[in-house]
Parts: sequence; structure tokens; C-alpha cells
Amino acid sequence: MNHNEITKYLDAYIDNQLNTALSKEVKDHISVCQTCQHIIQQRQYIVALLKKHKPYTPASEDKIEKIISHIKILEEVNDKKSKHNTGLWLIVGIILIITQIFYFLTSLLSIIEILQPSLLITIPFSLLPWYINLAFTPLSDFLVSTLHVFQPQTLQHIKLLLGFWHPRLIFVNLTIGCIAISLLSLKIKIFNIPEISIS
Amino acid sequence: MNKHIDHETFTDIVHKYYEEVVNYLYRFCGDRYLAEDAAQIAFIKCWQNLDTYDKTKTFKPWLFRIAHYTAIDLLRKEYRQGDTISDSVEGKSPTPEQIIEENEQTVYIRNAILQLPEHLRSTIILREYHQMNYRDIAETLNLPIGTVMSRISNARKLLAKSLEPLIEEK
Repeated sequence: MNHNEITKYLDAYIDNQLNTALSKEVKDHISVCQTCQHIIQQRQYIVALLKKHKPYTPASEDKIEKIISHIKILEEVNDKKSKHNTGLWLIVGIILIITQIFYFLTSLLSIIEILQPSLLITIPFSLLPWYINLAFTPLSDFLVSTLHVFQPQTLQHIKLLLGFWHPRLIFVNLTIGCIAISLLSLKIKIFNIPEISIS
Repeated sequence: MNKHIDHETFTDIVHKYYEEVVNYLYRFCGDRYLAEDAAQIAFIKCWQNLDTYDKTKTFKPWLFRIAHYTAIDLLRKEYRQGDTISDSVEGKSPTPEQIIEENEQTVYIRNAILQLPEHLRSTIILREYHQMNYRDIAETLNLPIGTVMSRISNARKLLAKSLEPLIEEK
């Protein structure tokens, strides 16, 4: 490096902010360059002067207390908000999961009803979930009814299963499941407060 | 409890950094009252934005960055109210309390620093008075390290000129 390039690094050299190789290069140049020696001396004097005469204002304890009390108020407001929100999310999440379980059970009952209707006699109130299931899933209701009435036995079973796992139903199920899981994991995340290191 | 950090830990942070932040802002804007106001706002902003703090990085540059930009916002508000930014910084004459606390040379140096352009002033203050390394200064002011290096060099050149009488006294 030539003299002009070296002068760019003189301040960083004084501050020990250069890597070893660059620092050595600058040092070697300074040892033979009087202009750089003069700049270094002048800069070191400026640094020492600034260190010696530090403008200073003492910290007011009142101000610190004011900040802390302000933050405490903010924290209390946030706590109230987050408790309210987590409660709501939890309820929505639980309702969605119950809906999922209910849907699954009623779907099972629907299959049993078609494959082995005699089994249903042993299940009390079996018709109630069946009708509720119809209300929840009109598409499966339509497919099941159609298949049940018009198709031969084997083909009926296959189409019945296809009807239950129709892409639209799978999509709806997955969406509801994802929302429920997200809401519950969000709730868990709120209580899982990671540590912070102060350096 | 809030975000990454609880109230007690944050109280420790305020106690640990308040004086340093206020002094940085005081050295930067030359006004004790503005520095205190900016520091207060900065700590509250810091609390409110804790979830944006990257825990893999050091805390101090992040806090100082918030404080720095808060002070600039306050100075701009003063500017809109009539003063220019440089007026609102350079025109601050020391209060009687400050004169007692600071000797003549300190006031002279303080004024020399306040006369530096804003971008050089912040960089040199962080380096000389807060012993930040170039990397932390770059992080605080959101700059490349090369820019920090050239700003420090330019600031020292300008200070060497304005502090010439003190250098000659030597």
C-alpha cells in the first residue's frame, strides 16, 4: 500500500481496530514516514484530550423511577390484554378441536350405518350425530345418500370412502385442524418466555 | 410478564444503561433536558419493541440506536418549531450548573464536538466517550464498518482544526 492508502487506516490503527496483517503493514509504514508519525501524534493527542475532558451529566434517580413506573403501567395493560386474548384463543381452539373429534366420530357412525346397520342398534342415540353430521357436511351427506341408494355393494363401499375423503372435505378438515393447532401453540408460546442475556 | 423479558430484568437494564444513554444523548445534542426526555422515550420504546431485538447480537448497540433516533426525532420537532437543527444543537449554552461541573477546557471541547456535522458527531462520541468498537458503532448507526472508519478519521481531522488553540497550548 502507498502512503495515501495507509493514511485511511491511521485512526483505525490508533484504535486497535485493524487485523494483525494490516496493523503490521501500517506500523511498518509509520516507522519510516514522518508525515504519518506527525498525524498519529496529533490524533493521539486529540483522543487523550477528549478522554480527559468528558462532558458529563449525572443520572437523575427520579427519571429512572419515572421510566420504571411507566413501564410497569404498560406491562399491566399488556398483561390484561394478553390474558383476555389467550382466553379467547383457548376457547376457539378447544371448540375447533371438539368439532373435529365430533366430525370424526359421526363420520365413523355413518360408515358403520352403511356397512353394518345392525351394529348401530347397540349404539344409543346413534341417529342424532348422524343428522348433525349431515348438517355439518352436506357434500358427504349427498355422496353417501347417493351411493347408498343407487350403487351395488362393493362399488358403493369404495365410492363411499371416496365421498368421505373428497378433496374439499380434506381441505376443510386440514384448515380447521391447522387453525386449532396454531391457536393452541400460540397460547403455549405466550407462556414460554425465553431468557435474555444482558451484555 | 412481557415478550422476551420481565419487568425486573428490564428495571436492571434501565439502572445499568440509563446514565450512559443520557450522557451519550447529552454529548450528542448538548441539552441535558432534551437528553433526559429522549432517554425516557427511548427506554419505553425499547420495552415496547423488545420482540424485535435480535438476541444473537449485543444489547447495547440496539439500545443506543433507539436512543439515537429518538433524539434526532426530538431535535427535528424543535427544528419544526422554529430553530434549525444545527441551531438547536450548537446554540445550547451551558447552564450555570454545567459551568460549575465542567471546566473551561471541557466546555470548549464540548462545543467543538457540537459543531461537528451530526453524522460525524455521533460516530466520534460513540468511539471516544463510550469506547464502542467499530463493529458496534456500525451496528448502532446502521453503517458499514468502512464508513465508520472514514467518519472517525474525518471527525478527528475537524477536531484537530477546531481544537488547535488547545493543541498549541500543549
